[in-house]
Formats: sequence, structure tokens, C-alpha cells
Amino acid sequence: MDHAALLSRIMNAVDDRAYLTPTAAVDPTQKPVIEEIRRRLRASDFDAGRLRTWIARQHDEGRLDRVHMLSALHVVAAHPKVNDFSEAARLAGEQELAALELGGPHLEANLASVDRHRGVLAFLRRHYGVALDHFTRALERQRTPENVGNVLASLLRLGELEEAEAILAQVRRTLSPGMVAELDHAIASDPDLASLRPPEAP
Amino acid sequence: MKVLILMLLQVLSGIDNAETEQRFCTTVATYSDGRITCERLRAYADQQGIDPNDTKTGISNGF
Repeated sequence: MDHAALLSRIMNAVDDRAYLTPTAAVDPTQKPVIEEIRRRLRASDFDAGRLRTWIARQHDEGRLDRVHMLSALHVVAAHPKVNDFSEAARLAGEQELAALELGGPHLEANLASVDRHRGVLAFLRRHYGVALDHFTRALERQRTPENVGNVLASLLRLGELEEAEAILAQVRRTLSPGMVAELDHAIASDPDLASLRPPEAP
Repeated sequence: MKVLILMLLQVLSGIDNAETEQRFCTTVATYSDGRITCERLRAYADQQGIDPNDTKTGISNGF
């Protein structure tokens, strides 16, 4: 893994001359169903089989497109109560094909979702360099605080604190105030990003 | 970080206490859009044991 090349790509993605993508990570037409899936995933009585059936029905009844259905099924498969990594990987591949077939204005965002899912799988399997590669691609396609946070978390796992700090400084200069606030919130709450927090006053 | 590790240990020592777990999830996953933070902690503990240097709460798997 060529980390120097990856870092160069990340810096290009957060460079102030780079194109700024919209903040909304999910297609608004898909959002109501996605929000409900999130809610069900977090429920204490979460049941993967029931949720999969429910997701498929949303797609069958036209409330969720195929790309987001596959994305949601991936998130279920990667859920630690399920831990079906081969299914999660298969679904990411299927999602990529569905995104390409769908095309349209959300193509880059949909492909960023695929990159993010692949990165998550690599991260969960402790291949942080591979995860960084996928997360970098996601960030290049879609500049969201979530994608920046995943890049930073991977860098920190690789022991690249200085690079993570440099990227964070660049991001603070170039992202919108709302996105910077979202990222700061992530840093404040995510233990994986704890080393990027400002030192506490004595 | 230390506080989170302590919380993790507290939760893991009373892993069957759903109320405690729920409180823990709410505390850690305060921005949990698409995240599976608490469940990942549980899975990590169940499968690999506790590593104080690796709270495994990390990344975001947004849709």
C-alpha cells in the first residue's frame, strides 16, 4: 500500500480548489425509508431477518430504489449481530452494479456509498490500509464529514497522526461551517478520533 | 478515552443488563446516523475479548 500516494489523493480531495459536493449524503427521495431502517437497526429488539424482509418490501412497493435497498441490506449484513461479511461484500458488489445501471445525478454519491461499505468491511477485518484506500475514494466522490471521519479513523489506526492532523486542518479551512461542526462533533464523541481532540485546558 | 474505556468495561461486566446497555449506547452513539457503535462494541467483546487500547467504536457505515 503506497501511503504517500493515498495521502496525496486525500489532500487533493480536501483542497480548497476542489469541487464541493452537497452535504446531503442520502437521496432525499429515499430518506424517509432509510431513516426508518436506521431506527429499526438501533432498536433493542433488532431482528435481522424481519428487517431484511421489511427492506425488500419497501423496494417491491416502490419506496426504496434498488441501490439503497442493497446498501441497507449490506448494513444489516455487516451488523455485529449478523456478522455475515461475505454477504456484506457480495451486496456491496451488487450495489455497485445497480448504481452503474441506475446512473443519473446520484451516481457519484451511490458509488461513494459502495466505497464506504467496502472500507467498513476492510476496517472491521483490521485491514486499515485497505480501508483507507476505499475511504479515500469515497471522500473523493463525496465530501461529507462522515467520509472525512472514516479517513481520519483509518489514518489513526495506521499511526499516521501527523497526516491526520494536517488533513483535519485543511478540512477546517475548506468545508462549510455546518460540515466542520458535524466533523467536530464526531471527533468529540468518537474514541477512534480522540487523539485529534484539542488538548484540555489545565 | 479513559472514560469510554471505563464505560465499556462497566457495560461488559453487566452485559445482560439491557437498561445499562441502552444508556451506554445512547451515550456513545450520540451521533449515530448509520453507526453501529454499541453493537460493534458488544461483538468485539464477545468475539475477541477486551482490549483497552482498542475500543472498536470507530467508523461510520452510512447508507
